Amino acid sequence: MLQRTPEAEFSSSAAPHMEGDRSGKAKMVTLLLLLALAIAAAVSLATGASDASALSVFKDWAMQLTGGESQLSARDALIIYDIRMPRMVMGLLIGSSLAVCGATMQGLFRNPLADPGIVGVSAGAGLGAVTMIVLSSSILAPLAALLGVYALPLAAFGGGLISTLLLYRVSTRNGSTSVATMLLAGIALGALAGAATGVLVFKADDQQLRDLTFWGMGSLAGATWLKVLAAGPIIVSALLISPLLANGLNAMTLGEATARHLGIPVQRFKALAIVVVAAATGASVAVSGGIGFVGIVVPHLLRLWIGPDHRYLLPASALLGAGLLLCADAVARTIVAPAELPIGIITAIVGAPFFLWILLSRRSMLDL
Amino acid sequence: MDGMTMISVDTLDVKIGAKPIVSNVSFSAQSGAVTTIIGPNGSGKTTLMKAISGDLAYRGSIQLMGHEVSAMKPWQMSGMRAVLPQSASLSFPFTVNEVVRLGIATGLHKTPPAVIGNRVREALQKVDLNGFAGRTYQELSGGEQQRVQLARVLCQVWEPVVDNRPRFLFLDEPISSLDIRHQLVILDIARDFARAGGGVLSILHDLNLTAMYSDHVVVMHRGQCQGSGTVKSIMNDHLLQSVFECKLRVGAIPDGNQAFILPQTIA
Repeated sequence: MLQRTPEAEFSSSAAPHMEGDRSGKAKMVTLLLLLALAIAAAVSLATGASDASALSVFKDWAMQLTGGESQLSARDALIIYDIRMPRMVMGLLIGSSLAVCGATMQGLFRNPLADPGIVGVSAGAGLGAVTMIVLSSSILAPLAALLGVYALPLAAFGGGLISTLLLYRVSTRNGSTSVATMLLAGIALGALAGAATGVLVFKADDQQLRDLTFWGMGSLAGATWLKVLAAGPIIVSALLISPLLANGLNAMTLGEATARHLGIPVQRFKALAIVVVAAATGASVAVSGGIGFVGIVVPHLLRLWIGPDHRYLLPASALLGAGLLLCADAVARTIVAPAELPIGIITAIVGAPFFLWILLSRRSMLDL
Repeated sequence: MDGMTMISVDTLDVKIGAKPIVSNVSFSAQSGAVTTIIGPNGSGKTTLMKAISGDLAYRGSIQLMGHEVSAMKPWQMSGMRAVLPQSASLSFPFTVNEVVRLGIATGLHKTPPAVIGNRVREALQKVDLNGFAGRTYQELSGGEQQRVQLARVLCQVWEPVVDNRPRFLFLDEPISSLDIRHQLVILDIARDFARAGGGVLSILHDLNLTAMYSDHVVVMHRGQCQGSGTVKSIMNDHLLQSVFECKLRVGAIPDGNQAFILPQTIA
């Protein structure tokens, strides 16, 4: 007779603080990040090339609630509701998705340099998206018609899934992942996906080229409610599933065999984690192109701050990733106003040196 | 409680790739006893333990408390036995507290936070790591890391017996990087666990400590079981010399019936 062992002991006393227990701190930091994110979101709504002020929107809401007439000019309403707001929501979704994917992938591969952008998963997702854009008028037309707005994110999901599986097969042997193999395999996969993307771009017609150019800039600039609708459900589902991975990712830190000894169904767990990463990365890439390094920087900073326990790392990553991307976007929109810098440039300027710094500080551990 | 057969291995074959590592091994281990597997390097000890832990595909039969290992789910086995691996590197900078806690928190059963804290503290005390809770795992020495892992493993099967069902500790070379004091500390813990009704299956290289702490010894040689039984019946000059391929002598300390093994020359 097999039963889950009951834990008979209960203690009425509150848990005393214990050395090495960072859970209290992690909870505090999470609250703090939530507050910071709210501020970042408000700032994101309030800033932009136009002088439309978010404050006037809040005033207007208050007015309407008390039964007054809307005072907002049609121009300001358009800017706030149809340009800045979808862009803010998109920033939240993409930022949290990138950071959570980074943290999950790092846990799954058991090393802090795994990131969908660096190891070629984003490139694979990009190839999926480009395939859909270019072939949607010919071979894939029925599929594109069937899937509607979800065609692009789902195609990117497919591309991301295939490259993650390939990467895992290549770089993991007997349950342990070689960092060097993973990074090199990532370069190869990225190059392969890039080449295939090039072939498709070569075959694309003028309209498709325009689509590709806008899509590939790595930017939140094209954010519309339609795009939010296309990527949102996939990203939100992935984010909601991710807390279920926390215990498994913690156990995986000790290796696959030990995770199994602790009761984790390792094969099923890995499959779920890979699907979550590929889905969220695919949906993000589909609507915003490749925005790099958020998935490396955010989890790494948080590990230094609250420790690597994934029960806290995953939600905190979502919050900090969303907040940082909104800030980066605010900078991208204003630094060269009225023009706009692609956000990918800003995240790379901050993130690439950071990546090098991690490499340097952990060089001995990685035996490169 | 003692005498209950917990592990029963019958005509076991394990291959890694195409290479047979363990062939035709049969033995059993009881609760309330320390069972030790000995044998030279490459004799299949670790592979045997991995198969019993549920890590490898096998032919033949391995039963844990009457259930075939290959048919059990990871969570079912996690309540019946805990496994100390030979070495454990950690990919992220967890504190000692957080590592030990993984032994409790990963399971499906909910343990109240206050109980978790106390248990982690007690487990660290047992392995002689008082005051280490806040240290980062990576900063510890190999021997200290090994004891942290043992504390984690102890937390997983904290009560040796639950609902009249004994639980098992699997220890693969638990004392390989420890000083002599801590070798004794760890093997005392294993013996106490067995005395309290649980079962211990371990792999050791030190024949003197094997003789001192084991109730039952299993001898592996070239993938086969060369004998299993009590220390007295198994640990004799003839069997040990032929298995380890060197000259040694088994004696007894005059004022007790403690056996000791004195190595001599390579034959």
